[in-house]
Amino acid sequence: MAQDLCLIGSIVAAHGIRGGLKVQSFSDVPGRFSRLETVLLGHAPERVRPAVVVDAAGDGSRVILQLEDCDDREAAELLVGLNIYVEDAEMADPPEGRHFIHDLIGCTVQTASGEYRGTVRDVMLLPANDIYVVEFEGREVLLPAVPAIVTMVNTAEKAITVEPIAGLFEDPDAD
Amino acid sequence: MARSLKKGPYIDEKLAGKVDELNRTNQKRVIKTWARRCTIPPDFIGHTFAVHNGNKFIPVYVQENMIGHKLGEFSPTRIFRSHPGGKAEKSSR
Repeated sequence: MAQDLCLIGSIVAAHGIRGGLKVQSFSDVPGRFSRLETVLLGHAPERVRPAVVVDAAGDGSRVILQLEDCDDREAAELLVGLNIYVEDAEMADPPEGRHFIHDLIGCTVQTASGEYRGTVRDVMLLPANDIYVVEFEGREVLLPAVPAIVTMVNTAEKAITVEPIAGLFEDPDAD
Repeated sequence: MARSLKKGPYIDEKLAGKVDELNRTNQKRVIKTWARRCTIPPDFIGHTFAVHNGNKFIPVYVQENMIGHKLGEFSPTRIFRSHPGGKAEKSSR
């Protein structure tokens, strides 16, 4: 079951005296928690248990969640630290023009002519632009995820096409 | 305290020279720089700078909304892991 679950948040604290849960959302999908009926709670995807969602308030990175059978602060405090998962089938689509990070990791980077330029190992979310951390010839290359450089992303085929401007794939510490 | 208007924005001369050269020859190349304090003028739009953050060079592609900011603002010196890893509904452009 572990591979079929997707992490959407984590319970960080109890909220109020009626069993409310303060949740750190990891989801970028607007209104993600307000549409939920059931969630899976657990420290790891291998060991989860279902819980029914009664109410969800707030949007963005902090959400207040109310679960069935959790109606006082003591019950809520027992749940602090648990992750919130949903099954793959319940995953929302990424916002327009964006891609889920777990879909990007492992993608092959190549030029328009098909020249291999590495594999995406991580994604950094930075203020100017997101950065794809690419492993190429045994070293780390940072690729700005902007349309001028990353011209095509196909997560279904795990392929990313880039416009390799001069200096992008060179070792910056070389000289 | 804000910088005096009389002085104008601080723009690193060497960096501006490199950008002028690229604009003149109509080329695109990553420009490696340590000039984090350099203000971004309109000439920099469309160029990619590898801005040093004290550890490594972070590529910054300059867009219109960055004008007037400093290059260093876009190359954080501290790593904040904002996505949890594993399979999560966190997206990137």
